[in-house]
Amino acid sequence: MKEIVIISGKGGVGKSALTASLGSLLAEKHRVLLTDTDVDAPNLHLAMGTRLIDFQEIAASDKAFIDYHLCSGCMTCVETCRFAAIIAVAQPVIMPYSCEGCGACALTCPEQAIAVRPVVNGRINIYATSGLSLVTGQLAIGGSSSGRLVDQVKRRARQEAENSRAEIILIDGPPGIGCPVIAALKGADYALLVTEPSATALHDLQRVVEVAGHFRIGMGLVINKADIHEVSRRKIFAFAAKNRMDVLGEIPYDISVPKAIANGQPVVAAYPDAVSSRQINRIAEALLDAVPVMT
Amino acid sequence: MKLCISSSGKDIGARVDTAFGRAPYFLIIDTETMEAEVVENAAAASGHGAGIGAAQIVSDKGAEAVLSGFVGPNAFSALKASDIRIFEGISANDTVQEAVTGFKKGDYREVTAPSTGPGRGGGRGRGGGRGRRGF
Amino acid sequence: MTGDLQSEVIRAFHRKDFTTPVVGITGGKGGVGKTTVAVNIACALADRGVRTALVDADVDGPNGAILLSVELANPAAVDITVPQIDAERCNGCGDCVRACRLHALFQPRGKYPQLIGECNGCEACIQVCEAHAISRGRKQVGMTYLSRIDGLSLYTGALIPGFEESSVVVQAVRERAFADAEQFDLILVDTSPGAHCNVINALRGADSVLAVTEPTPFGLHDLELILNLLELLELGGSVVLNRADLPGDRKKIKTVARQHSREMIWEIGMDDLLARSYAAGVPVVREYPQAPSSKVFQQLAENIAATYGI
Repeated sequence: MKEIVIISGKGGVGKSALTASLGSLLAEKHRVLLTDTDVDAPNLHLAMGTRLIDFQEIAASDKAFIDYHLCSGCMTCVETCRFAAIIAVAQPVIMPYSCEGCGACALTCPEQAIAVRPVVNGRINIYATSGLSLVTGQLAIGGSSSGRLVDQVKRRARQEAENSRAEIILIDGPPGIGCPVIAALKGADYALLVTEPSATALHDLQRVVEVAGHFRIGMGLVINKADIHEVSRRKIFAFAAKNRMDVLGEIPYDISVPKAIANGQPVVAAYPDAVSSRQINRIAEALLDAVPVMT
Repeated sequence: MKLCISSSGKDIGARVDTAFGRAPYFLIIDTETMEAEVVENAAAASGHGAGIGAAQIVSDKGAEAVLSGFVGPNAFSALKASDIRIFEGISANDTVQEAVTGFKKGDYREVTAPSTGPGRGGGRGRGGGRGRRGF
Repeated sequence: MTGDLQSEVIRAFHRKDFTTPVVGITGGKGGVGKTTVAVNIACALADRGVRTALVDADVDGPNGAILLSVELANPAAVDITVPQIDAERCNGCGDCVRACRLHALFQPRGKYPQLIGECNGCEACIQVCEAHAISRGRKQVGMTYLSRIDGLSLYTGALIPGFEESSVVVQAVRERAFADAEQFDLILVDTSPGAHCNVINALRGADSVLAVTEPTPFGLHDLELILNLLELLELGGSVVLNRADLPGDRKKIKTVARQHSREMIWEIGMDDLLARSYAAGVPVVREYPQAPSSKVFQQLAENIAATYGI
């Protein structure tokens, strides 16, 4: 079973749309499980006609709780907290959005009035679409520990993949370079990097490549909207060459893509003859060359 | 030798678990006498640092070697700090019993460098040596 | 928690010791144009003589400086505390190892504990050590910068790739700007995409927030999420519908906005001049002030100035 993660650094370069199309194409010849680890704003299920078939609440976040029967109001916890998560009103109040669940306050409370407990911080949704399953994570509003939720999403995805004997787990990754991205990359076999020709996307690509590089996995690049800025496009090629990274393909700007998404379909299904679809077909083949999948 | 094997179950007939940090149990086996002790891996559910937590449990039990499928870079550093030898290569299909047999025959490779992974804690150093532009 | 206490907590969460208004710019979905909107409103305000600070709190990938073609200057390191264990004083009790919920400390047999895993600076280990054997070391996780361009002050936060403490860097850049708040008539804060602690921390202390979106199904879905978050944080403000002519459902966007009591929706169409200036690293309000998008940014700037009596 091969695990492929699609990341970009910069948000909005087309990860979800591409994942939907690639998933759709790869599923023609292989058993594929799709996963959406962009838990703050999961969009993959919107890019394909899906129906929800199961969900599971996840408590992957620890928070401190004060037992006000025991609290003496000394405010030691307010001083102890390094994350400014406890505020002094009439009594100390813990702000869950800022609480890291470290337990330092619990350790220093003279009345032992504070306990750290897991709280629900999100859910895992399982969707079905034509011939494919999709495991999605969704962070609760105001929830923390999105990285830990990503861990749980991947764990569930691997279970589902094992049950269905999937050969490929294709993962739509989160934007950025922080904790959720690192969690998405852990244990993956290959990172597919999506970018677009702009100085900002290239800047973010460099940063995410640095993070992905720690994992020492294969990496390949796809340039989306490749024809919007030639100077930046050349810089991307130069960057890829310098980092000995293959460019698996380029997709020109194609209005068919947003049109397909507006209809809840991957472009390769809605407009199979569109120039973007043809390029994505090539990219799917190049991807299978880069990540050999045993059938 | 006191050998620790990451396991999915509590006895020697159970299947192994290839991921060291998140295995639900460890079986500590004396390879001479075949006496086995089972330890629950309380670190398995941790968000962060499951590998190091697992290494602490295993080190505290006096293991001299660990046999698993994959030992991440943080767990690697921890086990090495306790001079515990690390062997990798068990397959998810093996039972603990089969793994011990294989170990005694020399089937598994000893690992002297961490497996792929971020290795952030040990690899980076602790003193904030990353004084670059960071941009 | 009762409703009243919740409101009291939120007020305390946003409490600040200066009066300069703070306007956040966020969006949930990546790539909708938050930074473009933030940079152009900031420039439009500065060009009207408003003493403006722009805080780039997208520490994973700060791009404000790129869109303004400005060098990052005045660097300051962002550090967190990491434990340094004094072997002489350590009595080997292992309390620190057990106190660390990240399992970052490891005590080899017969030796003193070492830091091996990722430390988040919580100091639980230091609190619990009865032998006073742990002192505060420093670990650098990011940088902040301050650059000045044509009447605009840009504060940038950047996480060092590979570290996880984004939120710490967000807090540092926000605090750096807030420390100088008296110098400004207005502070704008550009957040990262998403809805987790990075974003929440960036919006701490805001008086209102612009939610940027696009008309696609993704934009609609993520607008709902971010407006829910803003409600939780009791932050009002307008919606900016960027790339308004992309295939999608503008009506649904308006419905969702109204459901969350966002009456004002600013629309920006796909604008060649905006695209060109973006690629060139110059804000459209300065490069092509007559462009349709420039007009909207200028109106937004006027609206903000009027709201806060600047």
